[in-house]
Amino acid sequence: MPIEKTIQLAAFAYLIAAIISFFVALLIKGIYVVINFFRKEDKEAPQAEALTGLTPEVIAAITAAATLALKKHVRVGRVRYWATPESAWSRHGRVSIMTSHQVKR
Amino acid sequence: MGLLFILHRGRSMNPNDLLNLFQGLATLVASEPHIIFARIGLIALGLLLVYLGKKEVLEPLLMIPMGMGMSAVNAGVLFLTPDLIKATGGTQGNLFVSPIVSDTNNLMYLLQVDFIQPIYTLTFSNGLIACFVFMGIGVLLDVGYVLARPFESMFLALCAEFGTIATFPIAVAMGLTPPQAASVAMIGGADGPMVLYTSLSLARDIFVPITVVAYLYLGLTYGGYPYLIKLLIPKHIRAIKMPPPEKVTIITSTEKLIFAVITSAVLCFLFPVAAPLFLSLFVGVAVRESGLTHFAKFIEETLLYGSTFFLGLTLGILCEANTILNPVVLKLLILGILSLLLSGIGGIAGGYVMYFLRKGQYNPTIGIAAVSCVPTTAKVAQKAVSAVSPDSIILPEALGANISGVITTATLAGIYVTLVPLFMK
Repeated sequence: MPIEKTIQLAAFAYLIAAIISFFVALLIKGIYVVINFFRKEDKEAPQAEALTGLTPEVIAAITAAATLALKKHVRVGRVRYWATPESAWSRHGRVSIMTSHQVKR
Repeated sequence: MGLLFILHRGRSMNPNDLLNLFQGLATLVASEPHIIFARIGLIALGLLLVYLGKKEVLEPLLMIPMGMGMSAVNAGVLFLTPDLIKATGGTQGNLFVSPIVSDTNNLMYLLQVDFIQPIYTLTFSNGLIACFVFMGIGVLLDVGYVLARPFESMFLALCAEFGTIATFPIAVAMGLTPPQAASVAMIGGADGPMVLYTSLSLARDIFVPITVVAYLYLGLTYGGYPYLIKLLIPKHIRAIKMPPPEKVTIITSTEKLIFAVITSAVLCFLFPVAAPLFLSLFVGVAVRESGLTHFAKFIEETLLYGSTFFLGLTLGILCEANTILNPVVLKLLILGILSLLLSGIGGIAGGYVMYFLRKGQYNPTIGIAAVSCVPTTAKVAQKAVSAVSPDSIILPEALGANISGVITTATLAGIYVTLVPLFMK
């Protein structure tokens, strides 16, 4: 293959890579925008955060406590807030009853 | 015991008979001078690699099995039995692997005889082991860093592919065929599995030396790139602190999972020849972000470490004197280092472009992290900055560029594997 053709091929490959990279970046941005559009929990979370003071440091403390208690690595995947802190006890009671039938693994 | 038996039978022994007791030595004596020197040199090189791996100058996970394999295969050469001569076509060989055999009957025979042949035939020569390593890399990746700053990360990654592009015409000018040139140019992408996959697809005849050179040099980036940073980026610019983000971007696991699924499908759609690699990378990401902890643990530990071990061992065993003594090896050594050097320069140049676009509020050292040796180059960038400004943190931006580099390298691998055969027609 003549050297001019290889330079052309290299330049063409770089151009295609640039176009694809741009579209991948656009795709990423698009996914993020669409997800944010449908995201509703974030609107509640700041209020709950203000009420309960849940910060990343608190989540780290919860993770550490769970890891110690369970004696295996724990990762907090999600924190959901119940409707209002006042109903936390009743909610907890319902969860206890529902999970009491689960087979222990 | 053999000597006693012979003396008992009353026959005198020929010195050659004694030598044939130790066939590794006998085959060495019976070889051409260049093979003798090559075998001794490769045994010594294997031991050196083990030493450098132990001292962590080179990556020990690869270098220790590679060095052991290299020294063993060059020491353990024997005179083949008639069956093995028929299967391999040579009079001397080893009981580790016969990489060039393609006849089905011979291959079936060797699968039952050679120690590493099943690993080589069923996982190495079809790129499966590269895909396993990529799955492990996918599980370790946190694509959130890319999602936070996609355009910036992708731009830097593209700049850091300069070596992969520029080395291709240089390699052709040095006498390599275009498929060989594309395979060796992929070393600039700084991604071992990608180099293995591309060279298996395009240049199967020299994939062993290309891959060995690639892994050796990739292990050296940790030592070499800091000097490049010091040469190209003055101290006061290296010390630039990245401003804190105006808005804290929280990327959830769901977003990362959606990104992995859609990007995998799109890239597989565009480049089916590289689809196994894209799938392997993004399935690892998907497993991580789905919270499938048992799968993630299996892939991250058993599969990744197992694949890395057998990759290193098989590469070392493939470094047998007759395979490595290929005149093209010297060119590969030069082109490999050139490719990585140009990629590093390209990445830093991209960093400087960002520095000027952001009016000095950007640390160009981040550019070197776009060379996709995950997470080595991101660590190199952070260390270089911390050495001059201990409280300057660039790791999030560096990791974003680092991970984008994996995506752009995989994209370029797909482009080369698709385009080069088309241009050859």
